[in-house]
Amino acid sequence: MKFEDIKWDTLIDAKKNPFALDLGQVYEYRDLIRIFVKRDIAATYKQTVLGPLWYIAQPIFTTIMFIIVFRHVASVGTDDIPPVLFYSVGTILWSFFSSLLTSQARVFYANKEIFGKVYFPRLTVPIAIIFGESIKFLIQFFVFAIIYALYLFKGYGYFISVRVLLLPLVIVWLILMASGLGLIISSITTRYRDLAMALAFFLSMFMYATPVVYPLSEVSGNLRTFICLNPITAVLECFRYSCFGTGVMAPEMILYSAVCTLVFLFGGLILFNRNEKAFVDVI
Amino acid sequence: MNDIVIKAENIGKYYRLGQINTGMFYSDARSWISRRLGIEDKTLKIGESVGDKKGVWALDDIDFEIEQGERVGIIGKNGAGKSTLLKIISRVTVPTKGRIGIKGDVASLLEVGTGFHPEMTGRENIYLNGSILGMKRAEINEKIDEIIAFSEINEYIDTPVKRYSSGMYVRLAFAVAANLDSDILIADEVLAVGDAEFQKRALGKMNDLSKGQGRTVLFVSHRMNAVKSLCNTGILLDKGKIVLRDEIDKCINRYQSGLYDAKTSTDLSHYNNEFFDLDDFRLVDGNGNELTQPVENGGGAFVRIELDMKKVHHAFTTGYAIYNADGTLMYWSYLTDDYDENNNVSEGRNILTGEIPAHFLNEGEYFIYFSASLHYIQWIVNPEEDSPCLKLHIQGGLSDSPFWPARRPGVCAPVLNWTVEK
Repeated sequence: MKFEDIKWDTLIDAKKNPFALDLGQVYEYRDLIRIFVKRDIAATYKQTVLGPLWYIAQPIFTTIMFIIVFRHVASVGTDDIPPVLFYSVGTILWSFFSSLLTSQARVFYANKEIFGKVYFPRLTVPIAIIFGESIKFLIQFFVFAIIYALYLFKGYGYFISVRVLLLPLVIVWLILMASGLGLIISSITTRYRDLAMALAFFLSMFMYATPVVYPLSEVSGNLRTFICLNPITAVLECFRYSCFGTGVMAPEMILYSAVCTLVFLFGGLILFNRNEKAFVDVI
Repeated sequence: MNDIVIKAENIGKYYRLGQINTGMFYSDARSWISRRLGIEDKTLKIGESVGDKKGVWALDDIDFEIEQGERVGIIGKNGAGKSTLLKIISRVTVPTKGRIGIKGDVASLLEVGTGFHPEMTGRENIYLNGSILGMKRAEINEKIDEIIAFSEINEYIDTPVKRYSSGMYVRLAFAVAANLDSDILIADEVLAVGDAEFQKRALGKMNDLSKGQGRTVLFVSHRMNAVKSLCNTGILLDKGKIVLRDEIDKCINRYQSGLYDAKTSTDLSHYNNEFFDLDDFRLVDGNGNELTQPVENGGGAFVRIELDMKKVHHAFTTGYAIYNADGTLMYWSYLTDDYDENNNVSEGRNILTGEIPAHFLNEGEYFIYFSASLHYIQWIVNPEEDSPCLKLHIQGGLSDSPFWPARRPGVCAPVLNWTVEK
């Protein structure tokens, strides 16, 4: 019987389209995604005293530090937003971005054992990372929302409006950017390990090139252009805008960041797809 | 004719040897750009060109078909391409060229316990591992009792697996894999783990899955006994090509005699060393004539070793190791087995003759490997590694009794003394 005459369930072909994503298969493996998420969350906090409380403790302590250092020592402005709210938004968004990026960048390295032995749609792993990190973010955001509500009761009611409906959009934007960039880095790190080591250092430097501890309105001139070239700037400004109605909302900055996000996302997916097939032989 | 469930066409897998890149982004980028622009690549050493980077075809133009319910043993020497083939079929790696069509689900047991997380309990790990292997949650719910029962770790199932002994770990992992409901099962040396008892159970389970439930099985192992008992057909690979696609017995025999042929083509002087030159190693009959025909089992086969001793060491001993066609070691025999000062080698020419015991071996082919060592000090020629080989074919003469003319059940067929009292 000829090859073409048989109806195959699986076709393995050396000449496969590098752009085919097989999302149907990923959906078939949704139980695996769910279990990966559970594993990542459970495994992180087993045998720790505070357990999931760490999710909350980290941003609280960081916010306190930021208030002391940047508000009281350096006297950086906060666009008239109460410092607690200003810094807590900055820190939870930045930690969401950086830990999502870092986890995605480690996808191949952290899973090389299992990728080398069993086949399952590899895209399940980055998707599970998105869910896991998002859950962590939502817990932190919930705490932020409580503090926010307290301020509303105290009479800061002027900053809430329908703009908050933009929040989910901004969060998806951030997820796509961090994941796309992370997948690009993960594909490169299968060949060049030092990139993974440089990443942590680079991210901690990069935080200062992003309006995390200061609002964009505080900088001007060339420095402002430079900071606007950082695609995450727009995400942070938009997030603060939806929460507080403050922030610089320059259309060209937002468009630029959106284009960057799409480039990262598609670049990341293409590289990931190409790499998932070849990396077993490289790493 | 049964349905074809796997069909491979022109499958090739190319591995680049040595360093794949320079490991430095800058050099690689430069090398890539110069290749694209067609100018001289400055990262290569002088005299090197891109085409010089050597590689190897681990699989080279392989074509085969596997039918529904076939139990295929894939055999061959190390590096013949067996594992690469399984990895391609189980989709862990991609072929460099060619294509494969597969009908039905594939479950691969390339390594049991893949993805187990030490912090999670046995039960959680069953779900994790099962999902990785492609099971749905509902399927696992249905089978979990069966899996736990098979693993025999009932009371520890809710304990994190980091507290398990390695035996428990392997049992749990195998239990998950063995309970997969897949049409095609791929296994690679999975049975080589665990204790003997576990191996027996695992092999039994594999037998049940393949013969009992009619699943298609692809199995790679170096243990010919396991392959023989599990598989009915075979693929014999050598240097990335299929040498034989036939019944499993034929493949195993061809494999064994292939090993033998490779040995006989080696010149004996290859084994010369500081202690002796090996001048002769052959099978002879009682009159000292070389054996070329199959012999009866009533004695009359001897191993003749001719050594030119250059250096005598008090611990020196020599002899042979004999394996049956399945690769099972029958026994070792040494010149110094009966300790006798006078019965040892001395400097110069020595001709040693060792008998093959009468009425002990079963009918079949045997492979005899030369062995020499300083006892308990070092190997000189290790029969398990690189050593000259002889082939002995025993046919008939299993005993003096007319009732046992042919091969008897069992590994050996000794004729032993019995007494009857009345």
